[in-house]
Amino acid sequence: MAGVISDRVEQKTQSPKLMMLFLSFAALTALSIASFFIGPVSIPFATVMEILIRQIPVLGGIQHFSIRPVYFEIVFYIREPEILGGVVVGASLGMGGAVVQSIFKNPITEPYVIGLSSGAALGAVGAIVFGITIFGPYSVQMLAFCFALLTVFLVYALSHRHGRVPATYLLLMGVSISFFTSSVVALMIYSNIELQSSAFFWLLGSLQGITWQELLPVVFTVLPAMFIMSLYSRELNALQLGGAYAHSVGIRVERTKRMLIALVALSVSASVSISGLIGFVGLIMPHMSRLLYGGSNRYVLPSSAILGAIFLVLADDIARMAIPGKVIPIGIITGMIGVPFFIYMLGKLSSGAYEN
Amino acid sequence: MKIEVRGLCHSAGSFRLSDVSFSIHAGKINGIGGKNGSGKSTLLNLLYGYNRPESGSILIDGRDIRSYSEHELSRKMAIVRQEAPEPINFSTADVISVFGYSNGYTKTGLTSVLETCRIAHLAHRDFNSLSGGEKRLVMIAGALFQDSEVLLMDEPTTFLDVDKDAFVQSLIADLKSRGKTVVVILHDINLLYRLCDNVIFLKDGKVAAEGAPESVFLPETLRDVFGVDFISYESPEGRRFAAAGIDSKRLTATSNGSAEASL
Repeated sequence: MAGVISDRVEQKTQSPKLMMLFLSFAALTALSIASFFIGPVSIPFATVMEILIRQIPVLGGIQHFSIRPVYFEIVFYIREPEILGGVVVGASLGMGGAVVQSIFKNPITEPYVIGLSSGAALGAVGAIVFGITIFGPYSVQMLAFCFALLTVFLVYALSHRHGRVPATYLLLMGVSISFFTSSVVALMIYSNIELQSSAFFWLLGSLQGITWQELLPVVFTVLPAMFIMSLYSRELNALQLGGAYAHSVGIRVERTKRMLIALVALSVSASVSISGLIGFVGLIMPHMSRLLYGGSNRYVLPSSAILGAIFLVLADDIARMAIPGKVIPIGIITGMIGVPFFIYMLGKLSSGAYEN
Repeated sequence: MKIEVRGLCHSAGSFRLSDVSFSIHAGKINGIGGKNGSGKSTLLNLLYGYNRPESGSILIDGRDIRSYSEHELSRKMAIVRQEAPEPINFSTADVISVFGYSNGYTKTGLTSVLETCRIAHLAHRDFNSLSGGEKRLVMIAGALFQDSEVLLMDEPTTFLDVDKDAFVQSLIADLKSRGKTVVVILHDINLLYRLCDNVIFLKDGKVAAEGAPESVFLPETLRDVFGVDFISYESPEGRRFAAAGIDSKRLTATSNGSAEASL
């Protein structure tokens, strides 16, 4: 009998959470569509919707309105990749943050701590400063991606201790290697004054000017990686109890950690290669999700992805609107609006959970 | 389920277990005792396969532990470690459901272990905000939820209030009556004597004595294992032991003069 009562209680607590996830996804969709109308050129609602609907395979052939080419150009080639870029980058940073915090059992970590950001910066700034063009117009992105992965690999390889990779070692090694590569990046920027502004702009992060050619490979890297990560919520819950307990409940601890770190590295490296370094999302969105849903990764993983996407699309809208005719790096916006909002949420919702 | 430890050698830091052999009796409460640093926790980490021994073997139902997958081992053994984990923002129920990983999580089972461990009222509380004693009960509930054949516990009663201490002891006795095998590390030698059917004493990484409590709680053995003389006396709960000299005052006060002279 007690079990039946509890089942009802569980169902009661689960369905609002699922509903909340669904609603936040709906909010993301609505926000993304609304974002098409933000920018220096105002475009009629029907035109935007028509261009969007035409891309849906089955519905594509039904519409036969004439669209002004300049509108199509702006909606399809400028705004759409930028908005989708915000969704993909925000989602991968959010989910990557949730995964990394669980692996490290540490609430103040984010995907960047394993060397991702400093590695990406090394590759991108190196390409900018030395004018490397081995990958043609995508050299900055490709080098950012490759160096991010290389740095994570180096951090991981150096953290091995007696057949295991202890979280503390990995964290300290990540921080040390990041400091080292950041020094190299600083040296490169310091010694090339004329390229300082473009290098700094990359470091601060921006979604503006993302093209379909850049975006599509990132989407096809990030989405499968996020899909696989989302299947590992129970393993990540177990890892939060520590390697010893995770092992005792039947998890292949090192293998699981290695695979998840590889997936985070892959998805976040791909993301930052097109966006530059956008901070705050990977650190805070998982906590925002925990405040709303509790700590279980079953909800924290999808919610961190959705909230990360919402937050970044919103921040990009503000970056476009704030100063007309001027491009503000999104990294400035994320900190300026995100931090006060998070402090507000923390006070409002924590209900004692973070007080120990 | 049968566990045989044969010629186990393992180093952890400057500490070394050498040539440790003993057997765990199925369906019984097996106690491991010894001084701090005698190798009890190191041994426990080897027993559930978290660390691999350098040499020697642990045979579970006749098969070497190395040949078991993590999943198979988790069906055989659950653990309750001394230190509590610190998950980020987990409720008590979140923590316990982790232990259903290998057996298929059912909410009904979760409710019943919450009730068995008298922590149903804590189900939705933040785990990190619980007291040390409550956390211990949650971890025991988790191990019960895992529903394995053997339960390994590292000092399950240390730092508990008197009532929780007694409750955990009754839970352990209850596990035995349900046919489970318990392996428990205990500091408290009186508890080892009273609760366990089979006792293994470790000293400096070696087995100093093994057998039924009556056969290993001998004056020479206790002096050898703990390095002090012990006296034993009869109390209303049965035979008790106390380190000679240190406890003699309390002894006369509590046992109403029924203490035996030094062993």
